[in-house]
Amino acid sequence: MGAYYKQPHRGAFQMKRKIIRFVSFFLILVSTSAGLWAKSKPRKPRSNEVVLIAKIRVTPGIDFAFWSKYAHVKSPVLSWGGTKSAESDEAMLNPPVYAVVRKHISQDSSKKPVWVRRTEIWICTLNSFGGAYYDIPKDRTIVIDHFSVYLNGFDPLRFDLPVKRMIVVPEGVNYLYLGTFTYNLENEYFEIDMDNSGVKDEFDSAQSFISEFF
Amino acid sequence: MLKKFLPLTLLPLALVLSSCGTLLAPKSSPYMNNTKVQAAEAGDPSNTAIIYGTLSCPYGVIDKLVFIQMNPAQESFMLTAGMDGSTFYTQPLAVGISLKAIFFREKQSGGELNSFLGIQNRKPIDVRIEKPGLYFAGNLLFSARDKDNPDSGDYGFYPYAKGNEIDSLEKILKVYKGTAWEPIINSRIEELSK
Repeated sequence: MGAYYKQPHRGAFQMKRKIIRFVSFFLILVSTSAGLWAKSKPRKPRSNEVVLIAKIRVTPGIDFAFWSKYAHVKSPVLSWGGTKSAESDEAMLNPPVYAVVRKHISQDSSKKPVWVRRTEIWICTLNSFGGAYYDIPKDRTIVIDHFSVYLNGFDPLRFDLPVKRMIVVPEGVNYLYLGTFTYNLENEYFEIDMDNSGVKDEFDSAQSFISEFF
Repeated sequence: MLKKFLPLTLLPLALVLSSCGTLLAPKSSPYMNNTKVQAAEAGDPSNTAIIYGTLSCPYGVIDKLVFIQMNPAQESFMLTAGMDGSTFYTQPLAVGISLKAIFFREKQSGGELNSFLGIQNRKPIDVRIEKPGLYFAGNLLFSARDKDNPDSGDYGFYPYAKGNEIDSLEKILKVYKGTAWEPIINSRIEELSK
């Protein structure tokens, strides 16, 4: 009896299935292409946002062939520590660099600035120009505390590069080039020789990066 | 009646005692990339070094310490130090290796605390092996660099703890008994006993 009633509807079910398959395929196609577009062409910053542009280099260069082997070393410590980037193969050769930024939120009675807890934003990959969106605070003042480099994109394989710079974002500015930072590493323990580290102005390159990617 | 409830009374007591035992005396062998290292694999004392010392922290007992090899001219590996009480030790490691303590686990009465130490800056526990033999890293306490001022930051293992190098050597001797390291450890104990 059940089979009798199901039989006439089977075609309708198959039709429905086809429609569902087609719609899902269409949705996947649209979302994937939208994702690819978003990856290749980042959105313009909103009026209350600034894109912080920077390039960070370390000398002597990091031996990526050596460090990438840790992606295959069996140790729970590295997996517990978590990763910064899902694209681990990419992260091995181009480690992500995060800017640790603070902004001023208010003043207490003693007129001392009060800074919000530091936020960490992905700004670029090592040795390449990159940019990070950041909401402009009311007083337009932000502090770049330091950059954090994550080798292989792994949290435990992190080293920091000091910056300590206060920046006031000028009115009407939505792209801010911080500079090209070069840090000289003293030894294999990523200790930094600050006397031979510095910031260089590569404004033209930064400008062509902005016009190309935004 | 007593017979009926005795096991129930003893069970929590046994659990408490066993956890205290774990807290007081962690004991484990060194592991290289998650594989246990046998004492029989002890390297040649003429071109390798054993790093050892003691670890302590204010609120618990450290039962796990992991090093990472930092020198790109050498092999990449993660090394879990052997532990016997507060003493930690490595297997014999080749000259040229640079170790950095990257992780430690602290057992407290309320549970475990995992801490990551990063790969930057060399602290007293981070040894660059420049010559073969025994290398005592010190009696190390996890604290701020200025131990009397916890707000000063830069936390790590510093040689602020009390301890006896001979005690550590005697524990290592048990592991390397019968290997080429035995006379070297014994002569170091004699030297310190004078």
